[in-house]
Amino acid sequence: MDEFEIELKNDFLNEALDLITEVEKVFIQLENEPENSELINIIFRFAHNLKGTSRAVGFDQISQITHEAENVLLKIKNGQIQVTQYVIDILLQFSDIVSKMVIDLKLDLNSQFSISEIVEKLSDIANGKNKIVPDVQKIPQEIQDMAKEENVIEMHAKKPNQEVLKNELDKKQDVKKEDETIRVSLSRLEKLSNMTGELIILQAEMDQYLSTNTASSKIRRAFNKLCKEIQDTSMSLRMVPIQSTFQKLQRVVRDTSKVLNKKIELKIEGENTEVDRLVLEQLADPLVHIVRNSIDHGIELPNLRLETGKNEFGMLKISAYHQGNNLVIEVCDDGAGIDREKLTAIAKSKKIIDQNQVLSDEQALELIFHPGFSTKEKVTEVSGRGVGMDVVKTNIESLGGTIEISSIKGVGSTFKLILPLTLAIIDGLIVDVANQKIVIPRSQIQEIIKVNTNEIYNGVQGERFIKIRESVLTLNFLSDDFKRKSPDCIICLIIKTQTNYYAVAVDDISGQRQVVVKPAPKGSNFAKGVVGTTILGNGKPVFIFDLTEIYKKTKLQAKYLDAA
Amino acid sequence: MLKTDEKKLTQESIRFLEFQLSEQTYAVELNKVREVIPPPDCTPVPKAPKFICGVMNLRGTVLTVIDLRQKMSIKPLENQAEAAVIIFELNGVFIGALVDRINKVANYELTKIQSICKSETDCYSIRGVLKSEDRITMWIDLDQIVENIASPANAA
Repeated sequence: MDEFEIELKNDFLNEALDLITEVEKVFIQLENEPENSELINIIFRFAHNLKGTSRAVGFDQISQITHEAENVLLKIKNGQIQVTQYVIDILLQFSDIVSKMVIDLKLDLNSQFSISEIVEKLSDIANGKNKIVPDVQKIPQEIQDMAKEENVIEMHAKKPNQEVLKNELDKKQDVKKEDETIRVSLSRLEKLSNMTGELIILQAEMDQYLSTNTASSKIRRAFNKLCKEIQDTSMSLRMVPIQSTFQKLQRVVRDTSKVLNKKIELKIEGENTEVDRLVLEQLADPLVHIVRNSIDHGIELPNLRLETGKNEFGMLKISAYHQGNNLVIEVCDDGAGIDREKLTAIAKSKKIIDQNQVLSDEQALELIFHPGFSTKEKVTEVSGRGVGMDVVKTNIESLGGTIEISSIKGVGSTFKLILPLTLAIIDGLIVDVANQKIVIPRSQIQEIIKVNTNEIYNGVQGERFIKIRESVLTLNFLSDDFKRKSPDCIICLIIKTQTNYYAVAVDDISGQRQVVVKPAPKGSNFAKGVVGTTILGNGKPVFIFDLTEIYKKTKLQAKYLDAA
Repeated sequence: MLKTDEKKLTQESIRFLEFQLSEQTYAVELNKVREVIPPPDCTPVPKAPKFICGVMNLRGTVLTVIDLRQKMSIKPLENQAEAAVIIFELNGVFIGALVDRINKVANYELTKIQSICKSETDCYSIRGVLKSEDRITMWIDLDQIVENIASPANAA
């Protein structure tokens, strides 16, 4: 393959992936509105488009199965096949297979697939083996029509007379009413936001310089405002609506409820809420887990719901909205709720907690995040293997987010995910260590306290401890890591990890601000815990440290009491 | 890497940026040089070996600056007034190198370039020798140097 061909193929794959995600929701809509011919038209255009372009760039297998799907769709369009559940299932299978092929091909352009099964199923439907006899007489006519249609398109391309052009333009203008988008590489966006950061630093300097001259105040104000707007816009460029992920969830809801014979009414709110693309990518899997769990463990079987006086259809609401600098996603069901007593009993039988331990309501709910915990007696295809919720929690926390559950027995449960809008900006505490400034993510710091040197206790192997409100914590010195000496009076950051608490001594605290996270360049991460760099307001680069990473091996497991 | 090198060798000559470390002249391919700046204010890198000056901010990009003299065990000139940092781009990675002085851009015909046998371990950072009428210039293998500053934190 020469470079041009590779590029061509990659372009096609990117485009195809976009098309597939776009058309997915149409497939699902089709199930609810099998009579809606517009939906069939959209899918038909999609298949037709995909068939043509995939053949053109040499992906014969994709073109082969889309060809079969196109046949089915054409017959649906002409009313020769009825849209039954089975037909929709196969069409969904087709879209799954195509998207899997596209993803695999992206990794290896020479991938081959076994497609005979789906091709057979599709052609069976097209040939009326789906118990519906097609009108054989009509087929040749259809093919002729199609052939004609294609000719017309070709003619347009060759002879664009005025009238046709005008029509095309009108059509285009209609489409243009929606906000247009273009593909931009992430590295270019990053370059823009880097330069914007620099612009802001220069602006601050310039502002100080110009402030002595009163005549310039008007220009100055206008300039500052413009700079702020440029910064906001450049940050917003990496934001995408959450829509695509919600679409995937629709599919999950449909498939899961079918497997479990449950009836679900899905409500989606706030699908235009924007979030950093990188956050969104890592959010998809945890959300799928939560939604599956809600359907499997939360919502009851239809007859049970009717018995308890609920609507036969379980209500599942997924909503997204912004709250301050956070994205909040709620998954809410009106199912059976979480049975805290049952959770506690299982935790005891699995020896996760002691026999006579008494848990508060919140603590009992927290049990579902325990690794290896599952209340399902039977392992099903959907859930019950006890992996899932703990992974969900870890994933959300690694994004710097939190997860909250509220649940009322018999009424329903709500899972609330609170996430940062972007990974590119974090809340940082700027501290001084060994005459150097470093940044520590605020989310890791539980508390900041001052400790006199005579309140530090020495252990036998050189460990140091401090006592804070009845708890004893290991004290680590960041300056040891810098191999420089610290002054006498110390300030301690109480660091919270997933499993432990400990104190880290720093020399001073210089402030707190939101910082833009940049990667640590090659040749700069010799010390443990360096997770990135950022540029401070004075233009100087500083390191961002992950303190939970540096002192992972802290042995003393501390029980820590909140200041409350 | 090999592929681009071969391409270069089919040309008649290569352009180099010549600079000085102590009294000796060294050179690197000009197409790897992005710009030359006065020595910036660097933030020291914790636990880094001595030849790493620190990280700097180049218009919003944070990059590492290495001291080529330290790296090659050369004593720097006493007069640092002309010291400069050359910013290189190697396979998309930006890196700065501190040198004593920038000399000039020079063209060398291929016949004047003599490569050095790579198997000799003691000359790993020298790629070849550039000959001119009155002196010879060492051609530094920057990729090799940058390759060798692998960080232990990354390796783990």
